[in-house]
Amino acid sequence: MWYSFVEKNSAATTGASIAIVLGAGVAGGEFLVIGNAFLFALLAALAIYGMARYRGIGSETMVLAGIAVMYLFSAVTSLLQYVGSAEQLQAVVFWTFGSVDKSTWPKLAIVSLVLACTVPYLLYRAWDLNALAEGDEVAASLGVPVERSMMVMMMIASLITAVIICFTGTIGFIGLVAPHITRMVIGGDFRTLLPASGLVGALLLLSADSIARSVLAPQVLPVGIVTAFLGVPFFIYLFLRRRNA
Amino acid sequence: MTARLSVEDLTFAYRDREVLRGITFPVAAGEVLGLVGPNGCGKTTLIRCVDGMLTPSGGRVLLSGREIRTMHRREVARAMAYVPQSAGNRTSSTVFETVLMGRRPYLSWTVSPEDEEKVAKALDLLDLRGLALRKVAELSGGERQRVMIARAVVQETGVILLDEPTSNLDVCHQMAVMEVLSGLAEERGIAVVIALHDLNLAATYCHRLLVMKAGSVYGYGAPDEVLTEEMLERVYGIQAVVKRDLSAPYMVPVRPGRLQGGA
Repeated sequence: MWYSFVEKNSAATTGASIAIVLGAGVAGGEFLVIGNAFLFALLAALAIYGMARYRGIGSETMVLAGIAVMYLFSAVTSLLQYVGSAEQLQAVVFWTFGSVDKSTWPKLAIVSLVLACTVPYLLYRAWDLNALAEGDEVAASLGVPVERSMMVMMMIASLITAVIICFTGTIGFIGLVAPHITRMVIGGDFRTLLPASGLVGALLLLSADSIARSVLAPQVLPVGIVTAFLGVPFFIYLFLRRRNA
Repeated sequence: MTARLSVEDLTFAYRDREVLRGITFPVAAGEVLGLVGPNGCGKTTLIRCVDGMLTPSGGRVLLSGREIRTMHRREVARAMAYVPQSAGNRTSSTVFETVLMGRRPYLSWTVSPEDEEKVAKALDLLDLRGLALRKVAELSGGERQRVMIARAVVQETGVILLDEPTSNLDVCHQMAVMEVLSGLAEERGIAVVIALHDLNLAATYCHRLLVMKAGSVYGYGAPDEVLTEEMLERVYGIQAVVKRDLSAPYMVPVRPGRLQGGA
């Protein structure tokens, strides 16, 4: 579901850009940027939900709708960057790097609460996810209510992504690399894949953050840059190795 | 006696375009029904309507007398399995994991030793034991098709629907797949509905054939009654000779204009 993450990243960046460049948002003070990022990430999810519902739910429809939404939000962000001042542009670009620098215990508590409410449910539905990975038709024939399940899963994934992105900015590649690395190692059973992917993702982020803090110390690099430098070559290496095997 | 599967006056339309009209047929326990007809005649749509993946605009589908619309999706999955046309090439699962998925309608979260035993038996039945730990995507077309049938077997249903399971296989693997399906019908009393392109294969292995033409039923009956030169000309628009010197009828197509001279 990496495409789902990409389009919400894009939408959250647009929300943050509106807050930074126009100073407009749904919340005030320190929650101006956070509130906008969260709202726009959810808006993206709803837009895809609407389009997929109109055209009929299917993995391909969701991917195409996600790509279309991503380009739309990217265009809005580009426009805002074009009209913004140099300082505003710098602030937007810095936000897109993503960072865990501004993490606080209350923010962590909010993220933990959302995860505590949603992850057990996803684990409970792990067999449905296993079946859906085989394709919509197969899943339906195995007794999965495909449309309803995909909608529920998408809304939960959107909520989790939105609530994390709004606090950290867009830290790329973890969401793409961690599940794939985990799947290559332990297989595709979502009962173990889901928690293991979370752990591998956390481990990757912590490693990248440690490198970001030490490589040019005392200067701290944005962690999103490090995740891309580390994660992508490693992923390509694993992918090519698997293809050759 | 109630048929294992009954389709009654089924109609389906994509928006304003009617694709299936008044389709009616029963399938008894232990019977193999072949759905035949030219490309685009509605075989796949019919199978998807029967399995409940598409909602018919009219008519009804009954599983052992119960209308499918009134059943929960999980109940349907316990009564009817589906083997799609091409499957398994996008999965990263192993053969064992894929076949185990057939137990999904019965599983909550954990997999019991009984479930694993059923998977092992299905792997043996389909001669897949040696491939259990291989990735499905790495298998040949014939092996992959056997995996999908094994998954349908562990679903322990009274009906199996198959959408052209032999389309990418050579004649040897086509026969192997059909032998397995015939065996399942005979030994376990499963009603098998199978869409096929190869009329000779259909006539050899199916108890009855349903011939479709442009979304309607052109003919229904035993292969001897249905596979005729007239049907081939009207439904497929080809000239052919139907021979009846073996246990099942078979057709030999004739190039246009050569019937009198060559056949």
